[in-house]
Amino acid sequence: MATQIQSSPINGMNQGGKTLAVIREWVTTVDHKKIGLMYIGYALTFLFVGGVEALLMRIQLMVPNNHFVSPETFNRLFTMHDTTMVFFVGMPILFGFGNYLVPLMIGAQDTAFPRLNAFSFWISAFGGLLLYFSYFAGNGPYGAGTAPDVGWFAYAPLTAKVFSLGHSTDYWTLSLLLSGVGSIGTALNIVTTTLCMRCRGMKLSRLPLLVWLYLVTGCLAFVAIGPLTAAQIMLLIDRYLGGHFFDTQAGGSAVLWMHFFWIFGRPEVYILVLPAFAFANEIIPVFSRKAIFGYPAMVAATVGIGFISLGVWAHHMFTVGMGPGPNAFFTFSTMVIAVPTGIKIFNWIATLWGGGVHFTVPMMFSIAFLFQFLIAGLTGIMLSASPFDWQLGNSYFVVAHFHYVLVGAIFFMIFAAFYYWYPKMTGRMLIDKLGKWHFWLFLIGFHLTFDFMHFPGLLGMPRRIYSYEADRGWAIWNMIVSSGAALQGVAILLFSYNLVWSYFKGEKAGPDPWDAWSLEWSTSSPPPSYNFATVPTVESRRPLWDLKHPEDRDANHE
Amino acid sequence: MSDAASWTNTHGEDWTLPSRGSVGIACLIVAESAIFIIVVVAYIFLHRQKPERTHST
Repeated sequence: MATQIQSSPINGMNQGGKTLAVIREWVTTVDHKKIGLMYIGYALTFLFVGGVEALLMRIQLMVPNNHFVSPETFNRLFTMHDTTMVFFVGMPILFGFGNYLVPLMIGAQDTAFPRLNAFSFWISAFGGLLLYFSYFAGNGPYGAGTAPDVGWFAYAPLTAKVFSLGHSTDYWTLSLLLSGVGSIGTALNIVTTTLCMRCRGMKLSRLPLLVWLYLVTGCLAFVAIGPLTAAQIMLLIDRYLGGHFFDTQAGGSAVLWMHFFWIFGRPEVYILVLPAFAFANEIIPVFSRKAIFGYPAMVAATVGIGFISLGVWAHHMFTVGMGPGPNAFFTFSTMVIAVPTGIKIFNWIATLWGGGVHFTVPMMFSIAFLFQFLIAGLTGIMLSASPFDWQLGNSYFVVAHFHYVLVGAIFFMIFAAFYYWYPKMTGRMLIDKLGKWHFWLFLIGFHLTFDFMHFPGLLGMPRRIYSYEADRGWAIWNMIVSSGAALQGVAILLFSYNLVWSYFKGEKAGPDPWDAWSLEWSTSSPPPSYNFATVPTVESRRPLWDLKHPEDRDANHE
Repeated sequence: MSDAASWTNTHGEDWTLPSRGSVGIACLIVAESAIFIIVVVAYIFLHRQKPERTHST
């Protein structure tokens, strides 16, 4: 007891000192793995926030004539949910995995610009914090803060000073400006690292497909985020310096904003989905015990998607009245993008074909992704036909379609990536049984929500509607959709528990728990700060396979 | 698997990569060009619209 009394203050100080040292280490780090983990942690935090916002909206829409939240709050909820999920969950979580994995997979000991990497993370992080600070910043026009309420694409002239009072739109604009700068910095780092930091023998023709896809994603980010940044600057000039870029009353053009936003927004979907493809390219072959089918075709399809995605943006604007020429062009270009995407799906199925498929949790998520992404693509082709889009544009059919892409494809692959690389990042396995519970609950919840969301859309329910009358025939569908959303929430809670419990008490993973073949599995779990004690030398696309199977090296077959 | 002794250099060929400074600056130029091109596009778009306007103030 006496010892305790004597030592506790010292221990307390030591503990405090240790905590400060740990915080300082993480805040000042330029290690790409720690920055990657911070991106992921930051995105998971916002996933929780954005998920709660989605659940609140689903409670509001669960029954007709509901007044669970006010119309003003509902406007803020969908604006914040959309913005959060795209910019502060999707982008950071995918950049987080990219930051962590790309240098490891190319045998590099760090990124090309470690300090720029840290700068990009912190500026993006403060962008997210700025967006949510709006809830506490002043009373706003309707009270309860000045959270943005103009929707995630913030169409003009709604964002003009006269229609958007207070500073809500300014918070939205400035937070996206900041996170855009961060995203460009991270993309620059990923591209430069891939081109300039590869280990000996890692030619472009031997790059892991994940790295190829991140390379294309990075290039897309350069070209796509710029227009959004420029448009945000123009919007600020309109609001504060008397500009009239988007002011229709003074010679500006609201359609111009739509073009600029979607020149960013459409490639943004591919910036989000290409990393999901990247995860599938690594996970499906490993659990099929086969090399990926058609590596060159996969690379070509990725580059093709990158180029074509820059020429399809106006399919979001069919209802504007662009005329038959532009409508025909954008219908055609949108349908063309299905070709390289179809090649990818074909190659993943061909990789599964004849393989020794192992139904691990990451593989289960990957197979669900294949099916769901196919459905998302099919409804995408339906919407690419401008006459069809005129009927269903801005309806819940569109909401169901893009959630099939964002959740059914991207989030399923993000979960697969967690189960696959968590052992590398922490040195511990996630609990398999809980992972399967997570998978099945989320799968059922997802299909209840987003399969049935197509029907109210077909029946004419507009997106972003606050409430609806009982006689519209939408009530039963909305009840099912909301029930599915609750089930997804339960699945996410299980996943969160699994992440935390396994970090402390999970089974030890070892360096290569999946018997995989890319370079990140050749180093310890978690890897040391320098990644590799000896920089690897590569002679094929599957260097670790060569090392483990000297009698049947890939290098002899390529 | 320990990586310390596993990797041996069996390549005889030279291994040279582009300079990260040059590639980084090239990427930066592309990213900044995207921003400025959009401003130019906005000017051309609005300038072209002007004769059609009937704005009287």
